[in-house]
Amino acid sequence: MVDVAIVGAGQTKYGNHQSGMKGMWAEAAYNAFQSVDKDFQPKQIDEAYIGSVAFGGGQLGNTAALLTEHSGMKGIPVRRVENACASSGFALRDAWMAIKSGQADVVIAGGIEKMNDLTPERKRFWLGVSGDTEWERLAGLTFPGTYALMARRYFHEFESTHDDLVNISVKNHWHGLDNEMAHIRKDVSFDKAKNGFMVADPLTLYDCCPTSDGASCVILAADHVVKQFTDDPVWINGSAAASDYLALHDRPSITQLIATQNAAKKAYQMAGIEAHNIDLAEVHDCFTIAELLATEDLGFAQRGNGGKFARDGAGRRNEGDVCINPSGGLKSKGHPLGATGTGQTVEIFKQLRGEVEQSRQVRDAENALSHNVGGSGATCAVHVYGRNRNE
Amino acid sequence: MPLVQFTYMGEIEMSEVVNFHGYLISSESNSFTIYSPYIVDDNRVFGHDSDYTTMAISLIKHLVINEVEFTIVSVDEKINFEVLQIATDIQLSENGRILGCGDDASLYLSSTKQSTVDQLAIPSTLMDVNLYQSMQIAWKSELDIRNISQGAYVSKQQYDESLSSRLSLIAQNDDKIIWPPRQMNSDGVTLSKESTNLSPKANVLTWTKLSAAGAPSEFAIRAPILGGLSTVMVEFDEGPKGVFLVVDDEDIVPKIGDSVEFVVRMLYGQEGIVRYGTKARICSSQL
Repeated sequence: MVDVAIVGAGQTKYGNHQSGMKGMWAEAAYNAFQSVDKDFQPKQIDEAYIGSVAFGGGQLGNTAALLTEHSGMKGIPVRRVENACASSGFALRDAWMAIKSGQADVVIAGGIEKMNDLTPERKRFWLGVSGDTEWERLAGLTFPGTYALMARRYFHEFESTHDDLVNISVKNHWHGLDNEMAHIRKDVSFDKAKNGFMVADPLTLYDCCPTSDGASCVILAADHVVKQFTDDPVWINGSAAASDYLALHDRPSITQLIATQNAAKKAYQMAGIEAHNIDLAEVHDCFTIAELLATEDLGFAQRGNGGKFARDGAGRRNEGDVCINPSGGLKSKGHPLGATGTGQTVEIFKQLRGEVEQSRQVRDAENALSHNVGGSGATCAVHVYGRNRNE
Repeated sequence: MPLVQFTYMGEIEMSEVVNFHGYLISSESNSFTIYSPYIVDDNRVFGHDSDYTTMAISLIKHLVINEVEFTIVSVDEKINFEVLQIATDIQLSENGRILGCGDDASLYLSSTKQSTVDQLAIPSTLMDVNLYQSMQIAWKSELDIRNISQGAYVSKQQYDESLSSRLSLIAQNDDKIIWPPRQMNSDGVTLSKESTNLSPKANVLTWTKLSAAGAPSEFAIRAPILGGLSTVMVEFDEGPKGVFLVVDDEDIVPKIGDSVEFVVRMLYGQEGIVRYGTKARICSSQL
């Protein structure tokens, strides 16, 4: 079966953008096109998958058609992919499958979210729309609250405290400090993160990702056309996804994400490697507790040891076996919902090719992983990447 | 800071007054009266998320638990009868007592209509007048017909579909107890209708207090006044778990392992309609 490589990747800076959706998407697509080593034109694209929650409802219908026609891709099959914050992780998987199926050779996967152009009054209606609206939302929960329930229970079940989450926050802000694409680029001290404004007890402001505008775009190619575009591709050696109960209260355990575990297991199996072979991972740290759980669910730490993993600084760049969130993660780089998944892939593409800012380059990285979660874990896409093709 | 200050007024004979669901119930020879415990400027007023309907539900449940036999011939129009019926399963009879509303935050079940109630012997809690007025204004804004959703939305049809599960914690029995209700299992079999009552108490598995800034839009007007929203996840003895708001008028910090009881309260208002639901009251704390 055909193998799939990434031949180009680009994004906007995450944060508060003056541009609207069309401008942001065009910028990300342009950056992706420009990143291709050899000649590339958008008319060479066969198909496009664009992840977006369509936050604010500005362009709920036919989002992908609008965006692609504004970026030189008019006429090809397109669709918006929606799985909450995992929208573009699933768009990437759909694009990968389109090539795997033999129906397309060059496919765009991307994502976009415009979140900061709403008034606070309008924005509050759109926060937390990806939980179980009828039961969780009407119990007063948006996602800070949902993840706070998980964090408190985790502290109860295992030897861990909020300090472990603070370490994750400090690490990710340090990782994002030199990332020119990051939303929040500032060093945060342990004391500052520990004593931040309480958003949802026990999670403070420094446990929560920001609401960001942003777009990201990656170009995938079938193995038999890769050479047309680059001699230095990044291969997608494993692609898997899973789902779980939407509502937290329906799950047997709230201190692990079964969808992550199942997707990771399949992705590792497909790639023929294990967690200890991963050199860097972009994991979905919408809240610091989400990164802690992900380090366990993805196999970097044993169950119950995620707190110790964070405490020991095991995920810090060029210090441990694996670098967790070299981009700064959602916490520092930002979280434009629909753009986050393929934004993780942009970081991995550049890291594996040695193209990020020198100061934050993960050394000698061969294998990488991206982990994109929808909501509190109802959907999850995991991809495993390699400098070398898994044959 | 506590939301209310506890003070007892007048002669108290506790044997005559029962505290139930956060309300006070007294019984005389042939009638029962339920009172809100709160007083503002010498007037008995509702708690932050209570009204005649929530108090009527609690009174009926109290009588049923204590095996009091009664029939009801009429229900005051200030009470949402549809909600009362789903929450308590009562039916109207040709003969029986009147479920009537008092002139203040009280209501009675009696064979004769009552126009006033005696507050003097009822223990009361003073509520800050500014807090009370702020909440009244907030509810009025929330219940404005022009207060419509611009995003997440629970329609009346969606809300009604599981109303019996929401108001009276009725679960499905399909090899195991299921709550909230589900539609189909992995064998493609449609699950049975709700048939089993969950225990009236459960234990706290975890909890959070969400700041006002992070509250869902449905609660955004009242959350700043309340200083945020407290939510608990609980596990019932029968197995299911659920998430519930903690009642608005009792400022108790939950703890894992606490026992909670469930009461019907106003959840929120939207488009002129009050949406009722079950909330949790912390009733025994694990120290």
